[in-house]
Amino acid sequence: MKPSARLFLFPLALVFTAAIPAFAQTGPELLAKYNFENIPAYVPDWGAGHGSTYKPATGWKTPFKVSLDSGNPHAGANALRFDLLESSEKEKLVHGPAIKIAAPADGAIGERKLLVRLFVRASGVTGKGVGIRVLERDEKNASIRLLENKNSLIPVSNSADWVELQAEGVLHSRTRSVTFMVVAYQSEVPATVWIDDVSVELVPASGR
Amino acid sequence: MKYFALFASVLALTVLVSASAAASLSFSSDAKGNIFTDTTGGLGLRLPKTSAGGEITLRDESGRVLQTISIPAEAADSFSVVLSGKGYYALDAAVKLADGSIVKATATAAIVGPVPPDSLRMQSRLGLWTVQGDPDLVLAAGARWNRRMISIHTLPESILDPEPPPPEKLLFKPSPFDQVGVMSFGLPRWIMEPTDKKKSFGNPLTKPVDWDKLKRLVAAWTRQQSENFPGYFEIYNEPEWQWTGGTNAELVRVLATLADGIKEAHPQTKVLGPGFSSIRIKDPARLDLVTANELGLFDHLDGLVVHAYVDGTPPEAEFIQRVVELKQFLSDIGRPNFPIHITEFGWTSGKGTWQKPVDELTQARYAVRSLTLLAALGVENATYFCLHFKAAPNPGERGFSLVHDDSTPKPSFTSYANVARWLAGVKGLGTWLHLTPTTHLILLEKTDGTSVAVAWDTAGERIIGLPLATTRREDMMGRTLPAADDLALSPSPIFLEFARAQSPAIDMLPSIDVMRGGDDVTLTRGRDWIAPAPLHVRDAHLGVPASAANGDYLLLARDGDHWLGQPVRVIPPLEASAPVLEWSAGQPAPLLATTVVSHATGPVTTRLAVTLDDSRDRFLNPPVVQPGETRRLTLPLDGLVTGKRYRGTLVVDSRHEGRRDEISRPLDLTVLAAAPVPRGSAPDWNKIPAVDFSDWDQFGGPIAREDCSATVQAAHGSDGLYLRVVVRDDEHLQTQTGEHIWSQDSIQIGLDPDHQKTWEANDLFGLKGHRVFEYGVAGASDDKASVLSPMTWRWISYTDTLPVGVPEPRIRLKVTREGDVTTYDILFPWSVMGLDRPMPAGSGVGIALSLADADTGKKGRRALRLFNGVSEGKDPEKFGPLWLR
Repeated sequence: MKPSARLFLFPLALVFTAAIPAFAQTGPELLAKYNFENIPAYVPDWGAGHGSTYKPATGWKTPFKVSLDSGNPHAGANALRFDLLESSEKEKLVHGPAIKIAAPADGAIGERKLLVRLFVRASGVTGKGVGIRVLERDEKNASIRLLENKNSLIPVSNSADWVELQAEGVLHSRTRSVTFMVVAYQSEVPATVWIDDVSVELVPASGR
Repeated sequence: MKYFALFASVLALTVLVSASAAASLSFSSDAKGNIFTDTTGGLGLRLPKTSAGGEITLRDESGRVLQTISIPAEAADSFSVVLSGKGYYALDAAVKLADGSIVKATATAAIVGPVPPDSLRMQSRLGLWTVQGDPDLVLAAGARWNRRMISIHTLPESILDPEPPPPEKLLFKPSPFDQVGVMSFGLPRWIMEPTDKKKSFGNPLTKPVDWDKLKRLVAAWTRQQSENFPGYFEIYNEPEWQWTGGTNAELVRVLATLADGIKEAHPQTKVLGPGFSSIRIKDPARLDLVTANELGLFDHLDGLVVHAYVDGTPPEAEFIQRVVELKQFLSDIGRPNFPIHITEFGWTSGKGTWQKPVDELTQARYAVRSLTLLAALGVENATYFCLHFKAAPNPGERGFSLVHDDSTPKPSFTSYANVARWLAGVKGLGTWLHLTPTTHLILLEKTDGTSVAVAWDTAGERIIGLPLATTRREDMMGRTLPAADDLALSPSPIFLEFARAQSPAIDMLPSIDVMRGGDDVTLTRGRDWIAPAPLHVRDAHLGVPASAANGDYLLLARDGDHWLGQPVRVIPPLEASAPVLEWSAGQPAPLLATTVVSHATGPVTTRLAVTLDDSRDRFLNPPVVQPGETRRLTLPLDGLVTGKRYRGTLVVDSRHEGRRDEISRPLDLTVLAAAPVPRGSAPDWNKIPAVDFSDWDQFGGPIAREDCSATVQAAHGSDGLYLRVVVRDDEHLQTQTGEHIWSQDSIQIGLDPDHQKTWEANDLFGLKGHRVFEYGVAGASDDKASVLSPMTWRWISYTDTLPVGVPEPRIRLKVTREGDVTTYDILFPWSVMGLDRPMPAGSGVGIALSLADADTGKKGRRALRLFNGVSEGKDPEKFGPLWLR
C-alpha cells in the first residue's frame, strides 16, 4: 500500500497566452495506487470496521484479521490479506485512506468518472458474500453515497489465481473524496481475500 | 626529495601570520596547499585576540569525524594541529570570542608520504597535467608524466631564413617530469591558405600553401627550441575539432608533416598522434582512427595519443571499454604494441560544463579506479586532467581540478598521490579479476621485486573472505589497514602489497553458467572454495540463491602454491532484454517490448509489471515459457499523457518449480507523436496536441516558467518532418551567427532517423549504424520586425554527403515574434536526415531539443530540454523517439 508519491494529482494550472496551444492531456488521471510494498506491517492509513466499530486495519484479531502477506503476491513482495475468522452477521470491511478529488474545472460540462482496478484472489467466499465498494464524500467529509449506489461495485469470487477486476462509475457532482473498500457480508468462515495492485483513476469531465 | 624543501615536516611547523589578518580565524601551514610529502604534518590556527576557547573537528573524505580537539580559553595567538598519519583531512574550527560570538574557519590538508624515488617514479604510467597550477604539487602527487601546450601561430616567416632570428623565448625548461609537448592554437597565417575563419585565441588550422615549407617551419622551430625539447610530443591537440581546412586526407597530411618536421630536427623525440578528443575509432563526420591509419598517419608516429573523457559514468563502464576497443583496434591493424598515451581524462566535481558532475569523494574514487584500470591494460601514459584549471570558464571546468582554488587538496589529490605511489614501477599487463559483477581485484607486478593488488566494489560495502598473505595494506587515502583474512571492500579502493615479485598465480578453470535460485552445482576440482556472497560452497557444491545479481563471479581456492579460479556466470531463470518502446502504425497505444529467454529446466510462469510514477501499474500474464524458449513480450502503455516524462520500472517476475525470480529494469519514458499531413497540405497546428517541455529537464536552471516556457508540436508528410516550437520568453536575444547561434536564443535539435535500430559498435555506417545530426535554428534579434531573419546550422552529421559546419538552406524555417512569444516553424526535408524517401507511419525518429534561453546581462548557459544528448555531452543514444502516426 504505497500510494504514489504524488497521490493527488490536480490538473496542471498552466498559464499561457492565446498564442501558445494548450497542454495536451490524454487518458485518465491517477488518483491513487496501492501495491502494499515497502510499508510497515501495520499497513498505515488503512482501517477496518465491524458493524459500526472501526479500528486501524491490523487492530482486529477477531472476528477477522487484516495483514500483509508475502506468500504469492500478485507482484512485488506483498499483498493485503483479509481473513474472516469467526462467524458474524455484521458487515466487515477494510478500507484505504480518503482519496481527494478536485472540484470540476469552472465551466466543465459532463460526467466525471472513477475507474477502479485491482487484482484479487479468494477462497471460502459464498455467493455475493464479498465485494469491492467505493464511498463518496463531500467537501465537509460527509458521506454522499456509494459509487453507482452499489453496496458491491464489483463482486469477488473464489479464485486460486489472481484475477483482475475493474469497474467504473459516475461521481456525484459534490464528491470531493472517495474511499476504496473491501466488504464482507457473509457469516460463513473461514474465508480469505487477497488484494494487490489497486489503482483508482479519474476521468475528468471532458467538455466546456 | 631535493625538490621538496618546501614540504617540511610537522616538527618544523611555523604558523604564518599576516598583520592584516590579525582579527580573523584562519588555518595555515608551511606546506604548499597544506600538502605534506611526509607521514605527518600540521597546520596552525591563527586565533583572534579575543579568543575564549573553541574546538577543531577533523574529518576524513567521507565526512566521518576523526578527532575533536579542544582549544583552551587561554590559548593565545595561535594553536597547532598535528595531523598524524597519511590521509585526507578536512578541518573545521569554531572559536568563541569574548563577546560571545562565534567565528569559524575551514581548511583541507593531505599527508601523502614521501615522493617515490625518481628511479621508481620515472617508470610510472601515471601523469597529471599541471595546467595553471603549481608543478611542485604535481611532483608531490608522484606523477611521472606532464604536459606542455605550446603554439607556433605567431612565428614569423623569417624563421625559414638560413640564419633565422633567435626565438623570443625558450618554451621548454628543465622538468622533473617526462614532458609531452603538444601543439595547439593553429599555424601562422602566412603558411596557411587564406581563410576568413577566426578563433578567440590563436589561428584556425587549415592546410598550408606549401607542404615542404610547413615541414621546414616545424623543423626550424624545433631546432630553435631544442634545449630541453620534450622527449615526447603530441602533434596537435584535438585536431579533428580545430580543422577547418578541407578533407580528412589533407588533415592527415598536416599532422604527418608536423610529425616529420619534429622528427627531422629532434629524432630522439617520440612523436605521438593524432590527439583526438575521444577514442574515436570510426566516425564518418570527422577524422577517425580507422581513416587516419588508412591514410598512413601511423607510419609517421612513434605512438598513439588520444583523450578519453566520458559523461560522468564510472570508469568500469564506457571509459575502460573504449580503451579495450582501442587496444583491439591496434591489434587488428597489426600494431598490438603501439604505445598508448592518454593525455586527458577526468571527472569534474563542479556543475556547469558538458560532463555530469560527481561529488568530491566519487571524483577521488574514480581517479584511482580509472588510473588502476589503465595501468592494468598497459597504457604507457595515463595523464589525469588536471591538477588545477584555475582560469576555467565555468565551475564545471574548474571542478576537474584535484585541488581547490587556494591549492588546498580535494580528496582526489590525496587519492591520486596514493595510487601514484602504489603503482609507480608497475610493469607489463595486470590481471583483472571480477570477483562479483561489482567487485574488482587487479593484480600488478612491479619492477622493485614486489607485486600489488588493488580491490574495490562499485556497488557498496562488501567483505570477501580471501586470506592473502600481504606485507602491507592501505586504504584509498594511504591510511594503514591491518592484515586480515578477508578484504573489506567498498567503492573506495584498497591496496595490498605482496612480498613476492609475482602476484598470486591463478589457474583459471573453464567458466560455468549457473542459474540463480536453481539447484546446487557440483564443483569437480579444488576444495575449500572461497565464494563471494551471496554465492556459497558447501562440500564442493555451489549454491546460487535467487537474490544473487546476474553477472560474472570468481571462486578461488588454494592449490598448493597456486590458486585455482572458477569463473561463474550467474544467469536468471528467465532473462529479459532491455525494454524498448514501439508504436507501429495502427496501434492505438505504444507498446513496451522485451525479449525473454528461458534458462530454466522446466516451464516458467511469468508476469510483467510496469510501474510508472503518476500512472496506474500495468501487467501482462503471457502463456508459460518453455525451457530454452526465446519470446518477445509486449505490453500496451495506454493512457499515458503525451509529452509527460514517466519514470518507473519493468519487473519480470518468473516462477517455476516453487521458485520465484525477479528482474527489474529502470524505465524513463516520454511519448511523443507527429501527426500525419496529407500530401500537398500543411500541418493544421490547431488540431495537433502541443507538448509543454518547460519542466522536462532544464539545463543550467532553474528557469522560472514566467521567464521562459515552451511547447512543441510535430507533424510529418511527404515533404519532411515539421516542428512548431512556441516559446514564451520575456526577451528574445540572438545577435550571433553561424556556428555560434547556440549561445543565445535558439534551438539545438538532434535527429536520428535510425533510432529504432540497435547501436552496433562495429557498424561502420554512420555512428554505430545510425545517421545522426544536430541542427540549430534561430531568428536574429530585431525589435522592429515580427518576422525574424532565420538562421540554420549543422553542427553534427554522420553522413558524408551532409558536411558539418555549414548552414542548411533546405530547412524551411520561419521565426516570428509577437509580444513575448517566439514561434519557430520548421520543416526538415527528409534529405537533410540523409534519407531519399519519407519515413513511413509507425517509424520512430530519434529527437532531442535544447532550447537555449539567453538574456541580456545574464551569464551561463540555460536551456529547456526535451530528451537528452545535445547539450551537456553529445550522445545520440540519449535521444528519444518521436513517433510518426
